[in-house]
Amino acid sequence: MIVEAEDHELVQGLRRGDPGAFNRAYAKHRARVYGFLLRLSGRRDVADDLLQETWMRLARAAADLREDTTLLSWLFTVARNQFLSYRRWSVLDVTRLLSFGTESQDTDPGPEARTEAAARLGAMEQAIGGLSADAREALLLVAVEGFEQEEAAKVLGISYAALRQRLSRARAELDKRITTLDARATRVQAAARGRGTP
Amino acid sequence: MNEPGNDDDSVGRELRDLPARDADARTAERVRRAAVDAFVETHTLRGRPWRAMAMRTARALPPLIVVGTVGIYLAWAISTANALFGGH
Repeated sequence: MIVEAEDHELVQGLRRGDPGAFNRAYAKHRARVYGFLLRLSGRRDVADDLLQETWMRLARAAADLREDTTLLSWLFTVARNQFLSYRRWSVLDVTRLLSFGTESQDTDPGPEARTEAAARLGAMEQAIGGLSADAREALLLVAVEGFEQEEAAKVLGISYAALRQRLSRARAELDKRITTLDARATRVQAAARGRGTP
Repeated sequence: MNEPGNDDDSVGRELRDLPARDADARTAERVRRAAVDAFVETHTLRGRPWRAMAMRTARALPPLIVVGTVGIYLAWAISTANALFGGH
């Protein structure tokens, strides 16, 4: 990913301690970081917390950023590390056990899924949510967020070759899940049509 | 095998076109405010190490006082119990 001129200025502002630069960085990158965290965790409450942790980390480390820092990559690296840390600790979280079976993935598209396009979108979100964590993060960075593969490998802390392997596996896994979901949707539609005819 | 990211297949396009999922406005504003406050505080304290140390000490003091009080009380309770019943 090429360091954009605007991001370069933002990094300079952050290093100087300019709150305006921080606000601009937040406005520019918040949604992408949040979307990444939401699709990684599958839970809005978790994504909310991790979003805050990520930006607090930037607030405290801003003055130490290197001049050539790619801000978006830096934020995604921190966001991903926050998610990994959350996942490690969540093993010990009793509230998760209590809510087990009652929680649903927040990636559910909601009532708008009545239209075919929205239903397809929902199926895609569901398929991504069902991928293994390794596959999901690789796919989200490259295919959804548009990171160059070299940059994505840096964010994930793995080699370029390892990333390509992960992407291949992720894509195969995704295709399989989409096929399964499509088949299920077709069966449901057929059953609905069957009930509709006298 | 399709290459995710630079592919021209329909799934690749769908992935690229997934809509942004943003935080709700209240959460976004709460996070922004907390982060900007931390940013300003961190930068202000950066040039004044004595003040940063004073703030860290002030934060650490209340739990230290509680732990100290509990420790002293426990020591007193054990020694008193020992004095009363220890000899027999």
